[in-house]
Amino acid sequence: MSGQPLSTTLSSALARALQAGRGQFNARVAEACRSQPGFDTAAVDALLCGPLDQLAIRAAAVDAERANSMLLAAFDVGLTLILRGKAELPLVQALWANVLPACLPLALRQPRDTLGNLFNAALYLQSVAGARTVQWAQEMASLGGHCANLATLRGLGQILAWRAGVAHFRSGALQVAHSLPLELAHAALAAAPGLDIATVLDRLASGPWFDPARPAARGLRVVHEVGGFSGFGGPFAQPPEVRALADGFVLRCADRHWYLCADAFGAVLHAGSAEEFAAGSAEAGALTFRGGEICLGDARCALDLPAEGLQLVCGPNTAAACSPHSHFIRLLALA
Amino acid sequence: MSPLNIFQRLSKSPTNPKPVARARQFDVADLYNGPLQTGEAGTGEAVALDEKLRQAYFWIVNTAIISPHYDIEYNDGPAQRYQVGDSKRALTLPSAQSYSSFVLLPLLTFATRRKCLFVGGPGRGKTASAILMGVLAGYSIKEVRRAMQHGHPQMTIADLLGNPLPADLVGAQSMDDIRIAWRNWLGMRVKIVDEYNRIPTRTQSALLTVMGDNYAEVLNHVFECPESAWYLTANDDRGGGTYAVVEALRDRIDVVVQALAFNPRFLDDLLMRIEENLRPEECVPPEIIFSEQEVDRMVEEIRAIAVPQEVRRRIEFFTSQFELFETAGAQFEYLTKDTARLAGVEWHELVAADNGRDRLKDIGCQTLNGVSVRNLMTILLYAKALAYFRGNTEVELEDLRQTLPFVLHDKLQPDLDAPFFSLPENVPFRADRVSWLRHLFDLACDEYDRLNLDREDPLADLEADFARGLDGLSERDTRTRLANIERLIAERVKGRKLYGHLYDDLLKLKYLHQRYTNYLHWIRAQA
Repeated sequence: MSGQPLSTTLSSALARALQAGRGQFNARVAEACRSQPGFDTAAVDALLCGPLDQLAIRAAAVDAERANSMLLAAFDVGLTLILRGKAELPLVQALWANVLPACLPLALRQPRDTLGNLFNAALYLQSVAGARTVQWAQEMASLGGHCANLATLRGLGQILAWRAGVAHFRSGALQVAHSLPLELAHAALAAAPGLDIATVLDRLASGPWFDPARPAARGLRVVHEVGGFSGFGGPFAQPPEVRALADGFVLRCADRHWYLCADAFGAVLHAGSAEEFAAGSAEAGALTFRGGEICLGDARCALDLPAEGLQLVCGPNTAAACSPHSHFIRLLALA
Repeated sequence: MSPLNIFQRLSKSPTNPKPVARARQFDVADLYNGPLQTGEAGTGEAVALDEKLRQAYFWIVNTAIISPHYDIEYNDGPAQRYQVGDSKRALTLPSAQSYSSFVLLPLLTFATRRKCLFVGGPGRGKTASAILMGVLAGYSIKEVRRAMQHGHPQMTIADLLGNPLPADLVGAQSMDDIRIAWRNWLGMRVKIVDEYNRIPTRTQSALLTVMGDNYAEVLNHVFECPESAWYLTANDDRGGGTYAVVEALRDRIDVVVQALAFNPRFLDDLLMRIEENLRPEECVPPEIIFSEQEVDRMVEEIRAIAVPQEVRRRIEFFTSQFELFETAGAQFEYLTKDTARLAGVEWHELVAADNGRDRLKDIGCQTLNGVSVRNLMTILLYAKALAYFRGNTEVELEDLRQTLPFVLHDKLQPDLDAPFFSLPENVPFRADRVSWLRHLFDLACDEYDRLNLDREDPLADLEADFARGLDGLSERDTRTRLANIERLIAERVKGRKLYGHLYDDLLKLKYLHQRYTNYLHWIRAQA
C-alpha cells in the first residue's frame, strides 16, 4: 500500500482478501492520498496489521466466503476514520477489538450497514461530553452477539447509549426498548434481577430518576454535578444562572446559553437560546436551604454549597442548585 | 463511485445553524448519523430548500471551485482587523459566516431566476461556474455545454434563435406556413451566453428581446421562453469586447460578479485536478440538484421574505441621494440628472453652475445618474434572496449592504471628476466599484443616523395617515391634513440647501397634497 513492505506478516485470511480485492483496496488508498495531501500511509499499514488482520482471522473462521466483502467494507471504515483523525480513539479501538468480533455474524451478512452503524455510533458518543463510552463498548460487546438482525443491534446500541449517559435519547430509547426481545431489553436496561421488564418500562416512563439497576433509590438526593470552569476544560467561563423548563433546564453564562437534559443515566448540555432562558422559570417552589441542607417538606439532602447567593430552581421532577462560587450545577432528584 | 465519497461530500449538519426556536426534539436515530455510509434509507424528511441552497454553496466553495476569496463579510461581534502595507489597506477577519461573491451571487441568481454577468480575465472559472449552475438545475453537462451560446463577431440572429426550415421558405404562401427550427437553449431554465460582448449589435438586440421579454421572434413566429436564470460572461466588460454592449442589454443584467485572481497557494488543488482528470461539474452530488418545481417553490419562498420598515427606509434614503441635479431643470420635478442626460447638455457646464452644496459631503455628487426602478427591484429581490440563503425570514440591513454593490456595479456610474475621487484616500474607489458602492451606502447610512430618521422621520405620520385611506375622511380633517402638509413643507424648505433626500421628501409631500386636494374637490362636489 505505502510502497514499503508491511512490518509484520499478515494472516492468510487477510492476505487472501487483499489479493482478491487488490484493485479496489489500492484505489481506496489512492483516493485517500488524493483527498488529503500528506496522508499517512503508515496508518493504513497499522490498520491492516492490527484490527483488520484480527478481524480477518475471526471472519474466516465464521464464514470464509463472506469474509472478503466484509473486510473491504471494514477497510473503507478504517480509511475514513484515518482521514478524519479518529482512528486512534479508544472507543474506536474498542470497537475493532471487542464489539465487532461479538457482532461478527451480522457484520458478515450486512457488512457495510453493521460497520457503518457501529462506528457512526462510536463517533457520536465520542462527541457527547460525559458519555460513558467504555461502558457502552463493554455492554455492546457483551450483548451484541444476541442480536439476530440489524434492527435489533441498532435498538440495543440506542438503549445502551442512553444508559451510558446520553440523556436526550430517553424518549426514543424507551420506545425502542418495547420492540426488543424481552430478555435482551432486560439486559440492556441492566434491570435488577426480579424486576420484570414491563414494570421496568412503566417506571422508566413515569419519571426520569428511576434507575432499573437501583430500583430502591428514591427521595430528595443529589444526582448529578454538571459543568466546570472553561479554564479547566469545562463549559462555563463563569458560574452559570439557571431556569427550569418542563423537560429540562436552561443555563446562561456570560452571553451564551445551554439547554440541560438530565435523567438517572446522565446529564448532557446542548446549545440553548436566550428565548428559552427568558421563557424558563426561576422559581424555587417549596425548596429551601437551611444549615447546609436542601429541604423539601420533610425530606432533606446535604448540599456542598454556601448559602450566599445560592440559587434554587425547581422543575417538575428535578431541582437545580447553582452558586456564584461554583462553576458546577447540582441537580437533585425530587422523588 | 467510491464509498469514501470524497468529492461528493456534503455538509451533513445545517450549514448556517440558527438558535432553536421550536420545541426541542431529540431523535435517537441520530446515534447512527455519521460520516460512514450505511444502507439505511434517510429519514425521508425533505431538506428545506434554503438549507439545500446552502449545501450547494458550500459544496461549490469547498469542492468545486477553488475560491479562497471571502469578500461578502458578516460579523456578529468585533472583527479582527489588520492594516497592511504603506497604503494601510485593511485585512478583516470576519467574526461570522462570510461568503464568496463569485459563488454566492450566481447561486442567488439561480434561486431567483435572474441574470448574472461574470467579468474577469480569461481562465478564471467564469464559464465553469456558469456550467455548474446549469448542472444544479438538473441538466447533464452535455446539455449545458451544447446549449451554451458562444458570442463571436459573425453571430447572426439565426445562430442565436433558430432558422426557418429551408423547404418551407421555398414553398410557403404566407409567413404562417414557415416553420422555425428554434434553438434548444431557448427552452432551458438556465441560459448561458459566453463572451456576450463579442456579439454583433444587431444580434444583441435579438438577445435583448429574449432577456427582457422572455420570447424570441423570427419571421413573425414567437417562441415563449420559460422563466430562467441567465449567466453571461465577458472577459473585459469595459470596451474590451468586439462590439459595444447595447445599453438596454447591459441594463437587463441584474448582478455583475468579478472573477478574482487565482491564489497560487492553492496550486495543490489544481494539480490534483490535473492528475485525477477531475471535473467538478461531473461529480455534483445529486442531493444538491434542484428540480424545476423546487426552484419554482424557492422563488416563491424568497419573495415571501419580509423587508422591515427600518430597512426599507435606509434604501429609500440611499436612493434619494442620486437623482437630484439642481441645475438641470427649472420646474421642480425636472431637477434630475436624467433631464440633463436626455438634453445632452455638457455635464461639466451643469456641474460648474451647481454651487452652494458641499460637493464632498453630498454623496449625490459622486454619480452621473440615479438608481432606476428596475435596479431598486433587483436590490430588494437579491437582499431577500441573501436573507433566505442565510436562513432568515426577513432582510437585515447587512443583507442590503452586501448585495447592493453587485446590483449597482454597472448601473450607478461614478463621476470620476467629482471632488470625492480626487482625495488621496478615495483614489482606490476609482477602480474598485464594489468597495465604492459599499462605501457610498455606508455614507448614506451614516447621514441617515445623523439625521436620526429612524425616530424622527418628519413624513412618517403623514404617510401613516394617508395609508389608512381616504374613505370617510371629513372635509374638515382633509383641510387639517392639507394644512399640516403645507406647514411641514414650509419648515423643510427653511434651510437654503437642497439635498437629494429633501427633494424626494418634498415631492412626496406634493403628491400627498395633490391627493388630498383632489379628494377635497370630490367631497365638496358630493355635498
